[in-house]
Amino acid sequence: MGVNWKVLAAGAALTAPLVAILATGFGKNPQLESNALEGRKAPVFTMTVLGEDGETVDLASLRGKPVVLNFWSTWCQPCKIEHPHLVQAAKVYEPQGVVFYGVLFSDEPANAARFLEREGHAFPVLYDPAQRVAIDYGVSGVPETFFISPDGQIVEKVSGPVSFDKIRATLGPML
Amino acid sequence: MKSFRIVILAAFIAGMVGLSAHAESPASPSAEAAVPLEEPPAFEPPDPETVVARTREVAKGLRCPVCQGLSVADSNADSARAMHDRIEELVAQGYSEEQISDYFVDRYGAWVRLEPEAEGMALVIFVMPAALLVFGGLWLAARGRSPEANAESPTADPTDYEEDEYRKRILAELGER
Repeated sequence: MGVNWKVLAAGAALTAPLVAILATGFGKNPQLESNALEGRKAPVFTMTVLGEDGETVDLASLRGKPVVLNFWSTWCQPCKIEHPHLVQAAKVYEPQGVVFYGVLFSDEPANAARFLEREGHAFPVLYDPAQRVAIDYGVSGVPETFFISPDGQIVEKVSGPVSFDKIRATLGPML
Repeated sequence: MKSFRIVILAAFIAGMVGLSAHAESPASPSAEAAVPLEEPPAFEPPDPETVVARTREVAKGLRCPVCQGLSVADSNADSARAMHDRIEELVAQGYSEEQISDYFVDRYGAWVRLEPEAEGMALVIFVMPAALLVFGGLWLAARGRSPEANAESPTADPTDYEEDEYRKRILAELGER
């Protein structure tokens, strides 16, 4: 029995768009690729600095400086991988006016203090106990790093561990 | 009749291509995009019972960001509880379910909705089955009325019954047993 090529071609033409859409959709993780806030004004926040006896940081007061905001936790393995890169970047770029902050995500301050004592500490860590800031920034897991321009726009969000090279490449145009 | 079938197929493909093209350019947020919660609440602050009910409704429709396929309402993860508290707070201030849902989409992206809205890429998925049914039905109807289709059918002419190829093959195979 021969193949009816016309029917086969029509069937392929009908199903090709659906297959293409499903293939595109299954091929990526929208959670990791979401950049809903990139290019937009960074949500403002006021958070307390861990270990600084109630001192607070207000994003609005940092206007005019590039800000690197890194959401992390001690139970997150990729955060341990990126930590030395962030420490190195802070040492290189803070003298050039860049401000680095960590934001503790879903973790206890005591755990963070122990981690930083063990792994090294180069920039302040902020506390977001009710995850209010994390929600405002659409954080869907850690680590996530936001690069905020001197005029307060989110230039880029990096989901997953950030490297020194990536930090250098992203901060370069802002300096 | 053949040209009618070609028109149906062409219309279907053109429609799907059009939808796909539309899907490639979903509205992306820009620096000027409105932040929904800068709008005033849609309602007066509701009573506590309404707050609980509306919070539950909104939480059921939003995805827990650190879970696999669980809603905020169904998850005990820290992030889901934090989102639930934020939803409750906004409901208590009088924000509508739509405003709150839009706020989370604004921050996380469209994936935070458990059920995607019929827009952009998702629109094709919503429209495709119905379109296939309609165009398929038209195609079959056109084919059924076509003389050439009837002529092609091996059992179209009852006088050919004895000569029917399928019948001959079946009888031959039965005879071999």
